[in-house]
Amino acid sequence: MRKVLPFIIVLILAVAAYGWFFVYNKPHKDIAKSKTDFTFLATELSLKFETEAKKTNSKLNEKVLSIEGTIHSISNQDTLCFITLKGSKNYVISSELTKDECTSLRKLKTGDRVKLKGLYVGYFEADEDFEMIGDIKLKKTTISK
Amino acid sequence: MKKTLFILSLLTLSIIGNSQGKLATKTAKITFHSETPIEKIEATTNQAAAILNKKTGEIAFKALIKSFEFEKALMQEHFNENYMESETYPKAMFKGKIEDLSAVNFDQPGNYDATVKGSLTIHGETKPITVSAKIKVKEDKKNIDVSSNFKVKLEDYNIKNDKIKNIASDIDVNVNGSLTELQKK
Repeated sequence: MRKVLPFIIVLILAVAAYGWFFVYNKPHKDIAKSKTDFTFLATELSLKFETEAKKTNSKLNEKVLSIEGTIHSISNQDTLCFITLKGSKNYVISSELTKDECTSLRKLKTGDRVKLKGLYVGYFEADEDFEMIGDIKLKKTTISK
Repeated sequence: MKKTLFILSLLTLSIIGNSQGKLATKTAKITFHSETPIEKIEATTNQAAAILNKKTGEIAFKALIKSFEFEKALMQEHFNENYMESETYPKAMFKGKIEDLSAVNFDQPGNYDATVKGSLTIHGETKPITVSAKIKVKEDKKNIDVSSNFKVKLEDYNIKNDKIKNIASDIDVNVNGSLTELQKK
């Protein structure tokens, strides 16, 4: 038994280290391939924030959203691309696209209708100090149509 | 008729005046960096909002904590759940004012150094802070780059560190924004 014990300890440590390596290096969630949790029209989602922002924010926490709407503005800085959808009186929807989507963005213009899929990260209320209307934010966004 | 036009022009000017001299962006970049013998941690958001008032020197940045991206998913989870408690404290914000505003000529393209004094809110704690900033007035004078590098002490913002101290007690923060003149509504 004395001879076997060190081998068992080494084996346990090796298995633990192997397991920890995979937990430590686990990959980020691939949003494009993830199941969509909620589907909205941009106007509909913005109106939800107009009426019950906090409740809507809790419901959407870390959820994958599919949002269809009209492009309000586009910003393409080579590998950093952003798209903003028209919302309601006090809210728009802003998304940071994945790097790969920057090429797709070149074919789009303000006023086009698109469907986005991205991870909800939170919202900014309309802010007089910042002279900005409310902003519903997504990241890792892809363009579905 | 002339009088009506004059009044109309004054009204228009007063409306435009509300936003004149202000520049903003919704895509400022904030990166933070921590390095200890145990671990190197870096995270970035490209979705911070910023505004600068050229007339008063007031400047503000705000970011959603969950918009920060880490190289490792596990670090990102720990950052949001254990350290920043981002569901309870979803935003970080800086509000300040350029102290030596006369040293920055917003009508003359070029690079300027400035000292910005204000308050920083992270993890629900607001503390006074003074930072050095670089301001670049672009050729068209309608676009201005603002950048700053400063340190944030975890204990000032009541952010707990692990027992094994895998996070540095002083975090390096880098802020970069390309601000564009606001068009008045």
